[in-house]
Amino acid sequence: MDCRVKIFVVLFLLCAGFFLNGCITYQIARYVEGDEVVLPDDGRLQVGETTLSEVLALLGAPDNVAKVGLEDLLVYERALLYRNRIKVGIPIPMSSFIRTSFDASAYGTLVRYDSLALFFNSEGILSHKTFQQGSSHPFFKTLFSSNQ
Amino acid sequence: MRPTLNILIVLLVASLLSGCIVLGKNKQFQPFDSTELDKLVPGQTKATEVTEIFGAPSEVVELANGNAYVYKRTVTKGTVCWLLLVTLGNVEKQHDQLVFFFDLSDTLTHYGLSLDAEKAKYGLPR
Repeated sequence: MDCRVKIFVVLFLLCAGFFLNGCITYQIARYVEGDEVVLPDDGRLQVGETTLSEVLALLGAPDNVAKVGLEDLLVYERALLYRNRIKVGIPIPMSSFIRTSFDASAYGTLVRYDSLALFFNSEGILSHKTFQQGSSHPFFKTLFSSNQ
Repeated sequence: MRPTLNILIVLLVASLLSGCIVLGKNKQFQPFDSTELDKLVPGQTKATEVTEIFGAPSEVVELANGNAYVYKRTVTKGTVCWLLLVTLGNVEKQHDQLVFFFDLSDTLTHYGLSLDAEKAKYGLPR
């Protein structure tokens, strides 16, 4: 490419960056709460066999504890929030000069949960377990899917 | 011509990288010491002894056959980076948690410990 053309392209990018600063912003935000939740797949969580003390030794303290009927529920959970936002507008306050202004933004927020719920009967034996790995669902596909 | 182009490229890169970064840390402190767990004997230790050692719990939960005392402390680390056209934000919250299970006679039956607060990290979204 000719050197003059290169200078023109770089100057154009420089000016675009300078004049568009504040006009277009793209924000990417991530919020994570809790440690990774993994369901042991080596048979160490057996319904009807595994005890509460074995689960506590294996997975540590649960994030939530609750009473569900005659059973106790232990929940291990991790929350992942992702937000993408694009904003287009004029950063100079124009209201002093003209009444109209241009400012548009679009954003999408998706919170996904990795949850392991373990139910224990009155003898402290695992009676039921359920695992949901929300983080395995991709951000944009999940956000724009029609499924609730 | 070539020096002019080089200067312009340096200016472009400098302007694209211009911005600022903010690091923040929040701590919800609970002064329990997990090394004190050696003093506890499931089947013998009473709830009052646990509270004498570890202090008041963050939460008490009623269970089907007793109660659970929850001790929790939290560390949150946040990073925000503003570049020319892009803003990147990342917040990570992790807990240290200790849960004691008591039967209906307030005797310790089980306990569980998770020490994850130190896993909270600064960084950019990934």
